[in-house]
Amino acid sequence: MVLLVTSDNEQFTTEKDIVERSVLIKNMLEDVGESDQPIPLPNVSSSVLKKVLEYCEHHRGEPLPTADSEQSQDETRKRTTDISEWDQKFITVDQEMLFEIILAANYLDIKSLLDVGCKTVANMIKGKTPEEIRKLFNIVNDFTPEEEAQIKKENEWAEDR
Amino acid sequence: MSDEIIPSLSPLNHDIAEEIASHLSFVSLLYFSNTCHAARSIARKQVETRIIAMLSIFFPRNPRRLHALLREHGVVVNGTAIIHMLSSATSWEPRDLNLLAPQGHAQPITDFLLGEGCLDNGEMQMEWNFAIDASNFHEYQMPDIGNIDGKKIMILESRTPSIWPSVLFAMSSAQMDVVTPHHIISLHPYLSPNGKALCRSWSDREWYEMRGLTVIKPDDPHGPNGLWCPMRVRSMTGGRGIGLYEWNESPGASDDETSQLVKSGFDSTDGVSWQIGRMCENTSCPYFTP
Repeated sequence: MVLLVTSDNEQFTTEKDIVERSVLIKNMLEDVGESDQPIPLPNVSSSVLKKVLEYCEHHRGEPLPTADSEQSQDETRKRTTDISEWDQKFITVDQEMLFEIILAANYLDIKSLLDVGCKTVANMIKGKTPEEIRKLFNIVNDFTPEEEAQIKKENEWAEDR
Repeated sequence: MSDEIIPSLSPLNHDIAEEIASHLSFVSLLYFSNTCHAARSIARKQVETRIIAMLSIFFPRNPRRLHALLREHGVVVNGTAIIHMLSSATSWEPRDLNLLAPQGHAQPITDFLLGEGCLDNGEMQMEWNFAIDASNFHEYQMPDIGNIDGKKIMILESRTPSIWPSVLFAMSSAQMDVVTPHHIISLHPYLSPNGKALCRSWSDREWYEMRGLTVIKPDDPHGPNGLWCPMRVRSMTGGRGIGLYEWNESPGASDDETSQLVKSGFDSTDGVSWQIGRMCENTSCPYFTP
């Protein structure tokens, strides 16, 4: 069993083969060897870790991507925004939690979870205008009025006519 | 300039924003790029990454160097490789990389390919569906066919210092979409992540000009391959779908081999099938459809 401690000091005990879906934790466990020492996760809160562990438990036993297969599958992976039914249900959370999960997946180095999160955001962007995207993600428009006018012209062209 | 593109909600860092962008279609990338400077820079990098990935299918040995050479000599890519790159969830792989060089600029590319060990399959017969205003159609191939599945690089040299006459007079759809080392230029306005797009009919030429492109006027306005003739357009309905021109010698045919290829390549998530969009409206054109 592995003991994890979150940023808000909550402790989670979980099985090694579940938590080893995280490359970061896997490497840490390999480095320290057999030990009862808790692993601190200062960048992950308890509510987010709970979700991450739920994901890891569901995908437990699935082969982890190797460096070679990751490279060869990279293009295919990025060309699709398909998400499995379970993953889709899992990632149906509010936007703040979604971003927290993405950040945690990135920090913990769980490639498949990072993909699910990023694909979800990509799907949210799909079909939206720049203004709608800005609104959705609170993106600050830092274009000058001249740049804005040029972009408006460009978008006019791209609109259905 | 902050690299936090989503500042008010647990900021996603630049790397994650790039990761998200890698999952966007070219159309979404276009809109995303128009939200702020950081997004624009991410989209630009993403387009370049995808172009290099496309080159690596044919030239895995040194795609970045090939990319740099294309930029240096103003050489563009056209052909089905672009359809493959623009599409999502592709179930097919292109076999040819068509490079179109301005007059006098094919040689440095061929020298490079030969220097890298490519075999010169010699000058090829110009096929009917290649651009009419070009010459020196040469084919090159990496020697290790087993590794790259016999993929070929074809180089066509324009008869003018510009590649545009060849592109605009092209007789097949794929030859009318162009990828420069940093831009994707499509006849279809939906595919213009860099803000550049060619028009689908001569009447739209003002859009070319407005966007800084030189419009080449065909000698015969009623010819079947000039911009007067919109040929037949396949387009996805439902707003921001992806469409492209298709050429078929048989005006009555509704489908052809290429369209099957295209169907398999483009992800029709809205359940709308490919369809003929518009026929030629010019009554003098042999492809006019009353």
